[in-house]
Amino acid sequence: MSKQQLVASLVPCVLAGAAFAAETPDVEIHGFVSQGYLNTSKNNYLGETQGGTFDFNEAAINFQSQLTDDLRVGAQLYARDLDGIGQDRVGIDWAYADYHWKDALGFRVGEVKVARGLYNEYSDIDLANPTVLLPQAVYDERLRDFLTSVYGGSVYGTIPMHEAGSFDYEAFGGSQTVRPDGSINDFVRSNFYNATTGTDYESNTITLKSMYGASGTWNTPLRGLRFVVSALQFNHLLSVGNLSVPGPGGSTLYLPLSLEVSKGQNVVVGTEYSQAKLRLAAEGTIWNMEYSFTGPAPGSSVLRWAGWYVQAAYQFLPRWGAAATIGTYYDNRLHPTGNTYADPRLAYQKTVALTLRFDPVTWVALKAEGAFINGYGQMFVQENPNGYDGNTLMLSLKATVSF
Amino acid sequence: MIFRLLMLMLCVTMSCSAVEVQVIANKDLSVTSLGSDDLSDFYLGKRKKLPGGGNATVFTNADQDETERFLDKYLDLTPAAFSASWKRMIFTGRGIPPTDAKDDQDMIDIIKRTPGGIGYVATGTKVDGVMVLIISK
Repeated sequence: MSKQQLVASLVPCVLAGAAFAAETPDVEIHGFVSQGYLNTSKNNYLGETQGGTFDFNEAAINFQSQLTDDLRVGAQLYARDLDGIGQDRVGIDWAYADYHWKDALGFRVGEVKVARGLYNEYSDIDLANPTVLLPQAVYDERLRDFLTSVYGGSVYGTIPMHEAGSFDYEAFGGSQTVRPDGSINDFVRSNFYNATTGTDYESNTITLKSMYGASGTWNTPLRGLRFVVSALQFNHLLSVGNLSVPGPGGSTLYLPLSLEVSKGQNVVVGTEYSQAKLRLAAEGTIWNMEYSFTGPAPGSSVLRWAGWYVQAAYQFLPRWGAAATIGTYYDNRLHPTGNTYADPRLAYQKTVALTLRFDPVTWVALKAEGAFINGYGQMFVQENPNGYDGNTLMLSLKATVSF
Repeated sequence: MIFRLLMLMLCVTMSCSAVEVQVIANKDLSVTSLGSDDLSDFYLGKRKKLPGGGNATVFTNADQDETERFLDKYLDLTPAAFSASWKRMIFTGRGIPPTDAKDDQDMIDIIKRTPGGIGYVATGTKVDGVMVLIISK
């Protein structure tokens, strides 16, 4: 556990302890366990999925206590595995003290969630989503490790606008320790992996100096209709590791190599309409990441990702729901058709997905999702060392039990 | 007879409820009426402060028919959507869900002793000691 994690976890503990001395507060305990299954017809995506994998699970337990009318503390421990990412190691998902001074102004201190788009804060809460996977065009699993939470703080509030509805806002800032064996390592590795030459990369450390951002939501006078805009910037995401290359006599040479994203910027715009049994949503996002790397052949470049999706979810029976999602990811929004790529299909990933959800009781959720994927824009080359092949059919299943 | 049977089956299938509900509050609440958007914000954990001052503390009813009717009438939500909304709050640390009252009498007793308490009971229930809160659209 890092020093930052220790501080973040101590904040609620100290406050809880102080309250405990005066009076024993009630502590609410909740949790969930999810087990999933992924299978792709061709091409590996989000793991070694061709042939099927059960390396897709999550578990969390959280503790919250309302110490006073306006002060609440809590923490959530979380573990997940997605084909080796996470490896079910327990870590802190969030841990903060929340002082709700006014409806228009509250404060959170500790490890706080990153506010981004409509659903980023719920990316690891299967129960809250109608689909197995969030739309990958906007909520890219490759970045989930460092878009979940930051050690720092946030301010938030709801401002009534009378006939114009209301406005929700949240601004956050902080830093974090990124796991060197997580999805960011996989992403960096994909820049250097080459099955033909036998080149690979592994991070020893990944650090992030700072991340800050804000999100604003206009809840319109039409109940259920809202618009959101969010923006964030992160600075100095640095991966320090080694490039492995074949050496003489079958040996492997390890050459120091570091990759730094000096500045990354993201904007999301979206809208959601939810009414009784229906939920419609649409979002778009753009990323700019300026990066450079050292090593045998230093260089620099800019990533210009973009993505969008539309989704409709409908609860057609009290315990049954269905969702349809269409989305597209662009690896370089300046060249969306991929005419500058060796294979144009590397430039995008277009997905159509249908999901069926059944909640037999309120504390169990079962989902089955089928997706048709055209393109390889978000598939890691190291997971497909023999190259890519055709379109991908993906089956995702997930069962979640909560308490 | 067959028509009534068909209507009953339709009602069961569509989970329609014949019960009507009324919103009640602690007698000392700083307001006597609320907008439905305000009520929705309190029940979804988005806001706590009452327009007239003080904090609102909301309660849900273990009676499923009454809860379904309340959610439909005042929040435009199904029980599943309400549950999903609170799951988001719980698992992001944004709040603790409302406490369930066992039945209408328990709801009245809880509201009586909770400053800022707001809940709901079936219309026609004797609500001595609490205030019927007027909810405007």
